[in-house]
This record gives sequence, structure tokens and C-alpha cells, in this order.
Amino acid sequence: MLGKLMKYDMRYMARILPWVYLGSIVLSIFCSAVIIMLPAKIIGIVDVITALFPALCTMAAYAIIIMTVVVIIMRVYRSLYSDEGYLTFTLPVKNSKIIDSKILTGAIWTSFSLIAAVIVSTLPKTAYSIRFYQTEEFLDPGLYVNEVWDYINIALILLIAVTAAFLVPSLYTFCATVTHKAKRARGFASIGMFIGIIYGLSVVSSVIIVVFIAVFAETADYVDYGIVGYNVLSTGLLLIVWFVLAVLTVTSWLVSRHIANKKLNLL
Amino acid sequence: MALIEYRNVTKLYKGTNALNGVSLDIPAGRIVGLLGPNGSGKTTLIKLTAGLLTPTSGTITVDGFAPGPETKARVAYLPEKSYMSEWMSVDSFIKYFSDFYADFDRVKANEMLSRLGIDPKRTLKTLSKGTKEKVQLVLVMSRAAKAYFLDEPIAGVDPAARDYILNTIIRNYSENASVVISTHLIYDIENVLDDVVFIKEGKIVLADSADNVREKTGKSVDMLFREVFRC
Repeated sequence: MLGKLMKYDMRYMARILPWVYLGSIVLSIFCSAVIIMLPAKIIGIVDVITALFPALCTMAAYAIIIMTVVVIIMRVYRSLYSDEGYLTFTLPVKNSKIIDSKILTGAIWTSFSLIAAVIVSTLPKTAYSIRFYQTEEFLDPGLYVNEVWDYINIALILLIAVTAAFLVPSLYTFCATVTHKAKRARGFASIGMFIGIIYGLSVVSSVIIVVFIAVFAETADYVDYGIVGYNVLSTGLLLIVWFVLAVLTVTSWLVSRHIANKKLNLL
Repeated sequence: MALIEYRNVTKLYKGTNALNGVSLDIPAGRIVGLLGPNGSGKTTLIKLTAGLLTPTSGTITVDGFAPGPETKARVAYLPEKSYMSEWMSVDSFIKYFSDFYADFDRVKANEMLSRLGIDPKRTLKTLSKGTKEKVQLVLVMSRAAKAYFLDEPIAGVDPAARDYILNTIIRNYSENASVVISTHLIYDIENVLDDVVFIKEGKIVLADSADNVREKTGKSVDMLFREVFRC
């Protein structure tokens, strides 16, 4: 039954999101092609375009992620707590399976959106590097990974991305379930609660990072190659971030399931 | 054992008793009218049976099961509101019901739609309110459920549609199943009812067969309703 629930949830989101991703990737490819092929003699325009197009594609990448979150919120809220809930919650399945389906499909689409966002934002930057630097130098892996810490950090970053993909739908489902249970003005209350928690998480994460660096900075050596160039300091930070995200994800998922199974009161 | 049993069912909403100690048996093979004015508790009782609400106290059993996935597989529920996604087509809903309900009859659903002249390829967004309600009814009545709960199925539709709905209910009724119809439009529905249940302020004030009610009181169910629930 979980597979059937996920089929319909995936189908709902597939009405909109693939077009957003495809459109953004096409934009990114276009921008990259222009950056590479623009004749050097048009001096002023080259500067503007090579600065503007990567920024445009970065904005498109953010738009992909925001759009995905919006569609997830719409699907969760409409199918569970609007009039469509009369259909959803009278299906012959456990309510917890309905919650699982929303979270799993949300995680799948969030993962797709992160991949699409990375492609969209890095293509024009790659094109810029190809135009202005030697390709061999740019593509040298040694530029990015030198120590075992770097591999560990890359693995942790991927793990954080996967956990974040689950966190978004879990957290919103939790917010929708809790505000619905409390019978507040549900739609806006759930979105407000979701945004508030995300904002709070960002603030807390920033404080943790600053404190961590302040406490351990003197004992660490830095290698200035961006996020994957640090050693145990960055690994420790990434582990903490992942742990916080994982706890939040699991807690919000389990609480949503529990409320849906035990205390449902759909009005 | 009755098909559906309610034992001392109470439902409290913020200090108000929507249902107050309701005990009732609904046997199989009956068409039951759940009658009462607005706010009497009809919809609450139906939603509790459908598993959309949890009772504050008391028990409900459907075919021996407490409300859950087992009862949802046995109960076909037609809510007052439209619950269908506007972007989906009628055909998509038929596939949806086929996927989840083992007792759903696709052939019967398509036949009923064809008789109504509804194109299954059309999306819900392009259908009128009355047509959407007919589609919902078709989906519900195409299931071979043990119990059908129809919440205000004839409110807000034209008289021709009302006749169609009532005829559909009678045509698809089975002696192994029960149909519970909640309404306050008694006159239109009285002739199809086997049993009547009057509910007032969350309490059952009358539960008897329609024939007995007419014999004992010398009045139609509609007239008795107007007397009992006079403002």
C-alpha cells in the first residue's frame, strides 16, 4: 500500500517540478554556452555577462529548491488537512503509512532538486573557469582532495544533503500535523511554524559553528581550499550539523506518525 | 451481532458534546435514515464510523472491527464536501479507487458514468458541482462495501439529480450491506428508508423501523420529524 500511496504523491509533484528543473537546466546550459562562446573583443559586454549569468543561474538554483519545498508543502497540506483529507484518511491503510508516503516522496523530490540546483549553479561557473583558466588545472582533482579528511568531509556533506532532503518534508508534516491537532488557522500556522523552525535552526547552527571554531581554532591547522580543505575541525562541525539534522528528522517523522495514528481528528 | 454497533459513544469538542452517550445497532441489509437538524451530531457519528475522528469515549465496531484499515476496507463513505483533486480526471479516480479498494468494480463505475453521460477523460475542474457530486456517488456506490455512509447526498442538488441519487442507492443496495443516509430533507427520502434514527443535540431520541413509526404515530416520518425538532 505504501508503494501505491507514493505513486500518487510522486505523480502530483511530477506535474510541476520536472518542468522547473528542466527549464532551469536549459537556462544554465544557455548561459554557459554564451559565456564560453562570447567573442573576447566585445569587452564591456563580456564582463557584464560573465558576472551576471552565473549569478542568474545561482538564483535559478535557489528557485528550484524553494519551488520544491512549496510543492511539498502544498501536497502535504492539501492531501491531509484540506477537503482531500476525507479521501486520504478513509483509504484502507494505516495513517502512519500515509505520513511515510508524504515524507519519502518529499525526500525523493528534495534530493532531485538538490542535484538539479548543483548542476544549474555549477555549469556557468565551470564555463567561466574554462574560458579564463587552463582546463587541465581546473579539472585536477588534487586541487580539491589531498587528505583522507577531505574524503570524509565530502562523504559527510553528502550525508547532510540526504538528511536535509528528509528533514524538509518531515518537518513540514510535523508542523502541519501539530497545528492541525491544535486546530489553529492551519495553513498559515503550519507554514509559519515551519519557517520559524528553519530560521531557528539556521541561527542555532551558526552559533554552534562560531563557538566550535572559537574553542578549537587554536588547535587546528587550516588548508584554504574551500569547505573540503579543512581537517578535524571541519569534520567535527559537519558531524554535529548532521547529528542535529538527523535527530530533528527522526523526531518530527515519528511524532507525525504517532499523532496521525492515535489522535486524528479531521474536521 | 449487528453489522455496526455503537456503545456509549461520546465526542467532545472544546467543552461541547457533539455526541453524548450514543448507543445504537445497525443490522445488515437495511437502509437507515440518520435524521436530525443541523448540528445534531449526524456528521460526527458518520465521521467516527469512517475513522476520520476518534471518540472521546465509547466504542464503535464495524463487522467486529474497531475503526481502522479493516473498517475502512468495509465502509464506503460519501462526505458532504467534495474531496476530489481538481486536476485529476474521472478516469484517474477510477484507477485510484481500483488501486486501493479491493471491492471496487471498475466495470460498474464505467457503466454508471456512461449512463450519466460523463466522459471519464474529463478533469474534475471542467465538471459542474452537480456532476462532481454524481461522480463521487458513482465511485462510492461502485464498491461492494459492507456499509455505505452517505452524508447529505441530496442536499444542494437539483430534483432530477436527487431522484437519480436515490435510484442509484436502491439499485445498488445489497441485502448483505447497510446504507446509512444522513439528511434533513426527509420528504424526499422517506420512501426508501427501512429504519429511522432521530438524533438531537448528540443524543438518539428515536430508533425504529419507518413502518413502526408510521403505525405508532399515525404520521409520516417527515411530519414526526417536524414535530420532534420544532424550533
